[in-house]
Amino acid sequence: MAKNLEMKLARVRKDMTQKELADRIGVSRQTIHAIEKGEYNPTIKLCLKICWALDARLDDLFWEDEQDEEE
Amino acid sequence: MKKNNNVLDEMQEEKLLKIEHNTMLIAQVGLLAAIAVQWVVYGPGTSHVFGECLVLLTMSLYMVFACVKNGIWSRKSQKPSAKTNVTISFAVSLVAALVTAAVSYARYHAWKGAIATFAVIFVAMFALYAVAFAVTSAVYTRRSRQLEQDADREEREE
Repeated sequence: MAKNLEMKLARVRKDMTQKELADRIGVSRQTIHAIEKGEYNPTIKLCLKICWALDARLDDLFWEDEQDEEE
Repeated sequence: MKKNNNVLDEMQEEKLLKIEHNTMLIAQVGLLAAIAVQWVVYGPGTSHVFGECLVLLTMSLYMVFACVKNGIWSRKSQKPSAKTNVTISFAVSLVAALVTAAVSYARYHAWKGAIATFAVIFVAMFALYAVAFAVTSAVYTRRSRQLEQDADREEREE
């Protein structure tokens, strides 16, 4: 999985640290770190929580082209 | 493109993980029950339950190491608590001492011997568990701190 730079950018735009985002949505900081690094594939429920916390849409943070996903 | 030999889809994969989780629980409880039954039938000792003890110990050690390595303490708490550690040590030691004392009494019909067995087993197991919990808590705390520092460093570098 590729790094999720969109999520990292959205978080930085909201001026939040990984810890603050993690506390806000009730997960560990390790989980946020792993998602941003592309090491963990979150469930749709967690994706939605992240989107709500960052005022973003699923497409903005988690959309991948089919070719990117296959690589 | 990565070659994927897994023919399960994500829902089937999740169900398989749950099945494997339940299988491990059955194996752990089954091994404990097998050890307990053999101790009651053949008397305390490790010679006739060596295999079961070895498998149980290997499973338990793997679980502890894997959890600590990944910064996981328990489902109830992310931080070890001395109070919980002492409570669990006390409860487990009490049960183990009661069972051992009961087996001792059933075999030798000696009250004093059974009480002495209870006292020795309780104190020894309580001390062993308390030390094991204290060491594991310390290692876990250090590992958690290290994971946090690694994440901090990578966050700064990106």
